[in-house]
Amino acid sequence: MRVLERLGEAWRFVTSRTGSHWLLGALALLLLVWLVPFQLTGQPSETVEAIGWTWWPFVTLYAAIGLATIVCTFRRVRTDIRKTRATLEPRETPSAHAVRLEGGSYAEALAALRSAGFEVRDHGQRAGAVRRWWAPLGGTAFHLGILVFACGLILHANASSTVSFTAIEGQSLAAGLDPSASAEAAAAARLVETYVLSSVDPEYYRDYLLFSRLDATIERADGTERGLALADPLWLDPLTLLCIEDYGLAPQLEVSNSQSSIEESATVAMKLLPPGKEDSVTLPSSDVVLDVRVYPDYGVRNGKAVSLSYNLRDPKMLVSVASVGDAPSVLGRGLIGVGQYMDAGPNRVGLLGMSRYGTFRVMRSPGIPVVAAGLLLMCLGLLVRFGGRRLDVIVWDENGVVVADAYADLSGRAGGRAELPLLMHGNGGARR
Amino acid sequence: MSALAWIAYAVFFGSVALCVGVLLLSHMWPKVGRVGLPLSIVGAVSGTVGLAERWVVSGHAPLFGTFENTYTAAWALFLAAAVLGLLRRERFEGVWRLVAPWGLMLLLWGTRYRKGPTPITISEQSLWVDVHVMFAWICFVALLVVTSAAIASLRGRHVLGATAEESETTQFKFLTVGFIAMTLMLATGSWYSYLLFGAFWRWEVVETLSLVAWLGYAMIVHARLFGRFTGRRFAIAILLVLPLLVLAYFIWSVYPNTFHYFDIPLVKPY
Repeated sequence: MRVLERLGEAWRFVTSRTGSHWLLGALALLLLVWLVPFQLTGQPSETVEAIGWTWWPFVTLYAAIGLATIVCTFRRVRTDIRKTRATLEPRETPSAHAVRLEGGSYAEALAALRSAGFEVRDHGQRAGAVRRWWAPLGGTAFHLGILVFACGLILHANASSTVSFTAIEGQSLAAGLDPSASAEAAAAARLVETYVLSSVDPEYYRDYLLFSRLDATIERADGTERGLALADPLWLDPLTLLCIEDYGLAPQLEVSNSQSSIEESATVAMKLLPPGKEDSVTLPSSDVVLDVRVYPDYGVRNGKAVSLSYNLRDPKMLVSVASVGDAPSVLGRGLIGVGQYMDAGPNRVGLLGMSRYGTFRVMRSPGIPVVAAGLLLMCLGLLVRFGGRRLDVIVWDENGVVVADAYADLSGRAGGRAELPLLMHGNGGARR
Repeated sequence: MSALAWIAYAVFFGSVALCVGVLLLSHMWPKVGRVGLPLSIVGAVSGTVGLAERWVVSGHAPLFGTFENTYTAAWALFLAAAVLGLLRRERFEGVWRLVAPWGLMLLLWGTRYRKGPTPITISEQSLWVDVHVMFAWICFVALLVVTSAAIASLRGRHVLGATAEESETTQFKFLTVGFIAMTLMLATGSWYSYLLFGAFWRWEVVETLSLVAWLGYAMIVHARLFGRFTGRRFAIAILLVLPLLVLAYFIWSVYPNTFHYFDIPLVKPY
């Protein structure tokens, strides 16, 4: 029995306003002492997220706060709907702090309240009046919004999917997806298969490493074009976004043999950025491996080959050609520009052009509408609650003298008394 | 920065510094305080000109980097003081006193950083960012006014009304404006985080500190509405949350390991 009593006390505490303050304070303190230090000391983001989402003290607090919010919200929904629509029931006699209003009759006072937008309920020699009766419902909506938002996050965490892939300019977006890899990849492929990547358009500010633009244009067979940018992803459907998150260079390479017949020609997505980075490729039908470094904007400074900027203005490729097999050997090395060739032993290597590829992401989450609804409800709830406060006024007719009191927000605490004379008579009144 | 930009910035900086000087002198010679509101209006106008010029030159709203953010924050404070002082002179004429010291501190902090306008980086090129930042500055201004009024009330002065009760009621109105704006800031930030990263909440340091500050202000609003949370307790509670507010807004200017870091070094490839 004592255990049950203790549990009952704990329940009443957790679901009380005081209890909710303690819980919120505990969460704030825990975040400050056990999450922020990890963030400031540069712990990996995965570690920090794991602590924030799954460490037991946090989970316990989330559960307790969630429980308190649910109980409090549904308690208030019942009372708010019943109480808010009604005016406050006037007491038999005015309180000690009620204001006595000089001049004007009881009827005139009620008329003045009506013209000030109050809804008046006259009980004879006393009346209750209310303005913006719906304002306290904003608090309920706000707390309900928190619950909906939390549900959305849980749904998102458990049911969302992200598929990343690359696509080269001129190719179908779905070319970089393997539908057999997973159901999510297959679903993403179905959504993007009608699109071809027309162009990837990055831009850097002057010659600095300041990324000022990353756009992509995709095109359907019927010629319809759609654009997307890093900060402006494309909605494929109400639950799915197509985002571009990065780009790279895709040299159009050609390898021909000693008989001048082309062994292989391909546009290859390579990891060549930032300038100075090297990547290698073995074209399928050739027997050479190419080690490649690209200067997007070739120039010479102090006798050294450099890239003058990160923009693709005058691209040149430094390529080293080696044979494959048990005893690989370097066949040749040279710097070639677009449309140029170099000899590498019996082979000839050419750079036909420099395309780009984009790194894309298809994100699907059934939590999107739930999270959006939760956020909207929270914001609207606050605006309703505080955009114009509820004011209840009670008026008494005390032997021809009008006495009034005012209460703000159904809190039971008086507020707005100073406005009473202005509300009802437009002149000052003396305190009783 | 162009000549016009420098002149506007200098006039703004000068107005803010003079306001602080007037604030200090008005303790000894109260009549000196009369120039505070006109000075804050001059500051607001020159700040508007300077930031508008910067917007035109850089092609984006002034919200990129510590210099721009401190400039905009200080301007927002003085704009609020000027507008409130002009619209409701009888009640808000003294708001410039509440914001001047913060404005000067922000501008001084901003002088340590790169001043030239640059294009905005790709991750910030969204209307959601502009809306997010707009709510952030509304919140910042409202909550700093509340904090300064709390400091004044602890010293026995009521700056926002004729009586202590009236001043505290007005203070609470500013607090609710700040809390609503902070909620909207977090909501728009959360939504944009999904658009950018596929996650509504990433537990990075600015997000965490903002959440802690939001929880702090939520507790104060809650306690004020439903308990007898007035007077000294109310003022002290507001002051306790202040460090969190300041850190949430400006920790990224000294700690780069956050998505909110915008003092991107201009590196060349050679």
